[in-house]
Amino acid sequence: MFKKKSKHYLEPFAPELIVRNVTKTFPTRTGSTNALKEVSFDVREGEFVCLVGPSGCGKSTLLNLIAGLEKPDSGNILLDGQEVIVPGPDRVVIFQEGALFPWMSVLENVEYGLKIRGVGAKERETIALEFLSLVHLDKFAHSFIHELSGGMRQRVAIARGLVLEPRILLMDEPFAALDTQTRDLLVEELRGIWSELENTVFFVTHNVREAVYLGDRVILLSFRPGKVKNIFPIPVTRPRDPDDPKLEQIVRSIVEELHDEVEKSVSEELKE
Amino acid sequence: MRKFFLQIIFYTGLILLWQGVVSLKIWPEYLFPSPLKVLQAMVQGFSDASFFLAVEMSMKRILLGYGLSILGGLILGFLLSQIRLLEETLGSLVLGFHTLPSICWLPLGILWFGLSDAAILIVILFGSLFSLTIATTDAIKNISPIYIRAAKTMGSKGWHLYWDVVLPAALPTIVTGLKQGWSFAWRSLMAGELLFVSLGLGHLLQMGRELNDAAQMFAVMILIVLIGVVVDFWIFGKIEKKVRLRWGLLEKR
Repeated sequence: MFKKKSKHYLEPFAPELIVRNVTKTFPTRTGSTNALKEVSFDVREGEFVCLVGPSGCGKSTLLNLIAGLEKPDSGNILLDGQEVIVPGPDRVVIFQEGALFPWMSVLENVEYGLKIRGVGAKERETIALEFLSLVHLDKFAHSFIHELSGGMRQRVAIARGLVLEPRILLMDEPFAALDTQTRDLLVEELRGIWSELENTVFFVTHNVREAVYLGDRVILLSFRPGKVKNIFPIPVTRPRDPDDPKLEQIVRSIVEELHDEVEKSVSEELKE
Repeated sequence: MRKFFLQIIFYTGLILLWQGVVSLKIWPEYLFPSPLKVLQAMVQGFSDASFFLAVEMSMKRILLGYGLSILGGLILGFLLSQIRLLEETLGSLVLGFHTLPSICWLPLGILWFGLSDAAILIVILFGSLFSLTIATTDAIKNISPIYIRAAKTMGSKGWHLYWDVVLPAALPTIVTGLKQGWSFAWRSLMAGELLFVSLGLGHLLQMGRELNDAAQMFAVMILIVLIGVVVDFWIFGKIEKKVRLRWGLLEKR
């Protein structure tokens, strides 16, 4: 049904996404905030990379930079060797709030990117329905967004992003606004979808457990300025058991390092 | 349902009170007519077709004038929201004209176009154009940026972005602006029609004065209110509610 992304690399060691020395500051009342400072990392094709860090460390900023929604002050972001300048469907973003268009039906939402691409009406409906069934919402194709629950909306958002077969799927805390049960369910489904489609995913979250369960690697950002504090490989084969003690061990070591950064962020907030 | 019954009781009471005041004979009947006389004037007006003609005349004018101002307001409002230089210059002029009561355009309209429909049209157009322009600009400027960002990451830009995303995202606020623009247009029309022989509803009121026919004037005023209410609540109100519900801005009951 879906064509799998080829794992055959022409250049075996060339990463798909390269982030090099990226710095970004924002003007504030008292001067400027250093959101990101000299951030560097790579993402390989088909890899699932998670980004964690205390709130306010620039996680979303980094994602927006990769999406091309913002521009870095200095440094480079390269996708397949091409400099990222503007947003585009090769780097679809799935936002925390879903950002679905309420004036379109569920199906029209999923079709939208294909319509922009110039895919014919009949064909894009077929493709959109395929992706809706992937997230188990094909029965709701003709519903309106306001009729869906928060979890269903995020599923639609995932289908709307995947349908464009992006080079890399950018997810900005996609499950943060959901209740725990819905969240666990969607994490599990995302894992299933990813193992089927083998997309490259860049996943921002503040939930370490989620990051370790899903990711091939977890990047930890420090608090202001946001720098890469550590990168944790998750050398556990899939399918993974969420209660695997090896995963638990990694979660603990990440949380430990994260804890210092959270403390910094809290004391910073109290100063303000 | 409760509201509906309350209103029936209220209006029945009001009519009885009105009849009571008339029965006291404080004012002569040609100045303060009884409800029955007003009803008779209403029936009379519709049976000799003079009310129909007046409503038709007024409706034609407002559809044209309001239609033009929707077109102008949407285009102008859109341009003001997109071009900063335009907003900083023309924007203040629009705000200024918005504060000018639209009937003030009538003398100039008459001077330019004579005692014609065009003069009244100017009043309607300028009565609602500026409020529609301001509403459209505000609506577009206050779109939740997440829609634009999401659309851009899906590859939407240029015409697609404006037509598929910006305009629909602004629609709930634009509809509220349309509703408000309508009531500005309706008021402007009535004011314009009052001032010279124009054959519309406003003119009918003026004729009532000339004939010392208060009952007819009451009837026409009630008619003007009814048309206003029907359009405002039943047409715009319904559209507004539907849009807000679908856009997720209203909680479903």
